[in-house]
Amino acid sequence: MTAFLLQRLLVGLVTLFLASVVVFGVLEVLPGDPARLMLGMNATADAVAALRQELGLDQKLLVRYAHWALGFLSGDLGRSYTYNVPVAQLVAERLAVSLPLALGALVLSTLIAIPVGLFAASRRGHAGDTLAMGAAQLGVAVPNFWFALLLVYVFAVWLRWVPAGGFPGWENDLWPGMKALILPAVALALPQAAILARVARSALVEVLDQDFIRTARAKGLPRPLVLRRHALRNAMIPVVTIIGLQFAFLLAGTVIIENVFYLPGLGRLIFQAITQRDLIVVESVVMLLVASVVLVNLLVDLSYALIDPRLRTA
Amino acid sequence: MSLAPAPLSLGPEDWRREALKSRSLVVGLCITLAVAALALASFFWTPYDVTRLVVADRMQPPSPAHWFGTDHFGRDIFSMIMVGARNSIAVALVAVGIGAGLGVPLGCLAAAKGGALDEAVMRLSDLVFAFPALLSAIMITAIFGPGAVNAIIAIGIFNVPVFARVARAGALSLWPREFVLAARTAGKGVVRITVEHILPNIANLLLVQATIQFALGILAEAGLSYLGLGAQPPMPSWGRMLFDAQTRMATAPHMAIFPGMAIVLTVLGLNLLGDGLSDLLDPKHRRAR
Amino acid sequence: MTLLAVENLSVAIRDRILLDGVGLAVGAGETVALVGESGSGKSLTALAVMRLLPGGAQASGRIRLDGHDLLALSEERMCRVRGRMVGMVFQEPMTALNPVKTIGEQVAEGIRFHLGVGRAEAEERAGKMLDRVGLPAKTFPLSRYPHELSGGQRQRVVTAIACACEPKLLIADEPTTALDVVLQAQILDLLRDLVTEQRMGLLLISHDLAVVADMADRIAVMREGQVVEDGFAVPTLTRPRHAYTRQLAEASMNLPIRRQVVPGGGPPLLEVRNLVRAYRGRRRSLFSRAEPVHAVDDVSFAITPGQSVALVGRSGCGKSTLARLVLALDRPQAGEARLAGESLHDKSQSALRPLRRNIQVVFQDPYGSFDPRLRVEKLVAEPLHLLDEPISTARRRELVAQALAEVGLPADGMDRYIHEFSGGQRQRLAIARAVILRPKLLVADEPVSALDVSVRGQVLELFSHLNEKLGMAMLFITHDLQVARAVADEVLVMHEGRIVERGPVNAVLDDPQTEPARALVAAAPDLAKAIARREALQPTAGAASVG
Repeated sequence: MTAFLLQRLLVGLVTLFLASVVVFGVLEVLPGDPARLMLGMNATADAVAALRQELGLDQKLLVRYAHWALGFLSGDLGRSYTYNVPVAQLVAERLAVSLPLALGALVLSTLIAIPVGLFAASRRGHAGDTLAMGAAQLGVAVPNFWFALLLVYVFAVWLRWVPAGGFPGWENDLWPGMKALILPAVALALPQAAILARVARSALVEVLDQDFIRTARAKGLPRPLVLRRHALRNAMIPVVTIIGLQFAFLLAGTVIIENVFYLPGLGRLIFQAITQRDLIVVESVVMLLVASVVLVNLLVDLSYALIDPRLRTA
Repeated sequence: MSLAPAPLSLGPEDWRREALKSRSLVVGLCITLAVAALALASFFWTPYDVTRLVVADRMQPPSPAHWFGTDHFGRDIFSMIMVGARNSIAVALVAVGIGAGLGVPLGCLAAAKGGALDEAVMRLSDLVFAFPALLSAIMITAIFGPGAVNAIIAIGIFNVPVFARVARAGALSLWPREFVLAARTAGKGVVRITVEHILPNIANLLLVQATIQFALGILAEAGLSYLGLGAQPPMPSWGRMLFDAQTRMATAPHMAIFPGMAIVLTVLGLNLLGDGLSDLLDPKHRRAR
Repeated sequence: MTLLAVENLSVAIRDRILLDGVGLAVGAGETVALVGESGSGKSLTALAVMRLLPGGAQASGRIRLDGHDLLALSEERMCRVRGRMVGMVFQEPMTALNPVKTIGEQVAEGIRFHLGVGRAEAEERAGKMLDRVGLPAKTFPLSRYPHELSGGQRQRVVTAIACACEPKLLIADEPTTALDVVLQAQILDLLRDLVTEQRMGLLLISHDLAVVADMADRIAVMREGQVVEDGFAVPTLTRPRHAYTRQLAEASMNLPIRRQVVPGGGPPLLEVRNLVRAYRGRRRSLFSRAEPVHAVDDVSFAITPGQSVALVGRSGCGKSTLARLVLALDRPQAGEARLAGESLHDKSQSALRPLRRNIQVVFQDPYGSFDPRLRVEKLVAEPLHLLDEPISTARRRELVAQALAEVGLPADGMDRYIHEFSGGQRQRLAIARAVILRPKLLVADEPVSALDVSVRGQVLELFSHLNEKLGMAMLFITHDLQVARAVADEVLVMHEGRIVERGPVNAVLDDPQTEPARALVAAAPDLAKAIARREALQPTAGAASVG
């Protein structure tokens, strides 16, 4: 198992390194001088030069990469040009919105999808299966931001149960913050749940066709027991894979949803940073997201090894 | 006793019969063709001119004159959806073309050659997958400027490793097969075997994947143009229409409902088509049905 | 006393009738064999008894087991019958066990479910059962996972699961078909002993008459969903009443007899010297180095023009790896193989072309051997790619027609797709493809082991014909010693990557000198010998009837 995980860890590190080169390189070749952008068109050449020096922009490419990468590793994400605060602080503030949103959506989607997948697989070919999978098929096709608009219309505009947007912060009380995240989380979760339910069902159906299921049935185990004891665990690998992929998607894919609900999250931060050419913020946040994707992939690999004993000895 | 594995394919006659039996295939194909027909028709005719602004008619609810109502500039939403379909389909289709055009050869080559080349292709695809796709697409379009072409490139890049992996996995499962070994003893080289034997036998997988990526492309394009990074006004696009509708949900919900339904229907049609195709083409699925 | 009585059992999926009025009886302590070729409905009969038929299949008739009317039981009651009153062993040991559960859990599971005992006691009983089937807890603790066991060991686990609750009836569906002959003999011995000990009735399903001749008290022969003949084992096999049984028995016993060919003189056609092919083994731990596994280990032999050589050995002994080396589909780490004096392994793919013209191959699997998307004409013509000049379509069709005629297929077959042909016909097509260029050497890797006995003889005849009439030399890989006798002059016995014994085929197989060869010969099922044994044991067959 260690060999397998070490190998995956190595792949993750290589990916991280390549990603850092790509991120740094892409933003480096961009047109536009960040110092000039920060100070505005009226600034004197001297002021721009001074700022360039302050930001380290006058140094060699490699030096700047090393500086950035080492800083990143030690938790120093640099300073935002536009907000003029440490990026780490910005990110921490925004994560307080994005992380609960993404995790909430992930948990919600998993809680909906797995029972639906089990239900459909256990009734393969019957009306319940057709109905559940029809709904899932529809759910996959729904763009989450459109779904969000409909939710706003029904629950905020019409029923007035929850606010239509904005975020009150966590400082005073938890409830208003959570209330503001309910609709966004549901909007994110349902289309993802539809995908996950389909994957869970097809993985289960595939496992249910295998020989060892027949062995378990020949032992006398009733169908529901076979499904839970023998099929579920074998079907977990594709399910866990998709959950891992969805975490990455949810963390970054909140950009649009945060725009719909005017939430001050990571997605909006990066969206604004891109349009304002706040390169340090863009670089750092993208690298952070890539790192979290790599980390989640490692966790997924670890869970493979926990699920499947064959990988432990490989 | 079942020593023999299921044959890889059906005969041509069985194929046609099975195709008509698959409900999702028929429904999916009908929806897809209908959307494509609307998009094509928009080149010659739309109920109203989508570039003409009629302020007097703004935000009209659906009526016999305007089936889906009008937007805040008084444009006919049905006409805009027709023209928007053109844009959505073009972006998603070309992005699939880019993905398949680069990814399939890469994947086939990686499977055929193995070793360092295979490793390189896989690591590169890991790299692309490490970037959350939508975020990177936003970055690319925001940095290189919004517009349909950059949207195509942004979506297309993320299709490349998807096709590379599907092609590689399919090809890897075929190379040890006895019919490929037989072709090798007939002195055929890697390229020839790939073209003659591998590609036709993974075409199923690729076709199904293409419909999935097509559907995802439609969704991604809608997302990008919602953020103002896709096709630029006055060219109507479905995502942009939803953006315009957002602030007017209380007064004119029809502005959001109809473009959204257009997206859902198109994506649904493509997904059904993909499901139907994979049922039809994959003997394993056929047994499971 | 009748334990299992199947009466007038019919099974249909939609309008297709798969079983048609099957009748069958198994007494307590009795072994009944159900034999027939693929698709005859043997397995379906077993699944119907277990009530595990695939979805959509409708069963009618009566199945009585120890007084219970199985088809009338509720699913819940049926669960109490499965595993408790009737256990089942399946064909494919590699996939019959759940890969993510330990063998102990899998054996104990049924015990807990049926006998209502606690975890500890169930595990203790499971340990005893595993010990009984030859997996003692010392070397095979309950915490082993299936992937840590070999095929033969897994089949023992499956058997332990089936017998864990001491059922009255055991159904074994081709329990040894996926195993090599030595393992087959071991598993059959185990089944026989368990049945005697626990006084179980055994319904043994097999396509192999030689296997059942040794085991069965009675035999039922199935064909196209019906039982065509049924009776005591020896008389049924020696004096079959039904023409189909006779045909099966003859096909199993009488393989074509090899006419001795005068060994061709001159320099060897294929010369293999000290060939080595090793694969990277599995690493035991992170820091120890992986021991390489020698699939082919210092192998030397030669084939003269027109000579037919059989390569025999247990599964996994390296036969197929050796074939791939000889076919230049793989490179050795050491040693060399020469065809007509030219090395097969020091050349580029294009420089190999003239050599490839003289060495072609027939594989085992008649289904996997052809690209399903091409017409037969293109498939059979594939080796024509090796010709120096492209040939016209008309000439190509002519050559394909000629090759098809050679293997006894009509020329109009070339415009059809491969799925329109039966297994035996496909193997003929594979031979047509191999001989279209008239190679000097034909390599055949288990070419008849996936075929039913009735077609096996014909395909072997065809190989003999090619060898004798066209003078093609053959390297014929097989696990079946009877087949080796039928097609070869010389035999090479391979064991763990090495050739341990060689010589004229009859001399080696009649009087094997080395331990691996002896084990192979002893374990090989032989119908004629089995019948002789049975007749010697019970001269009045039938007197010791249903117990």
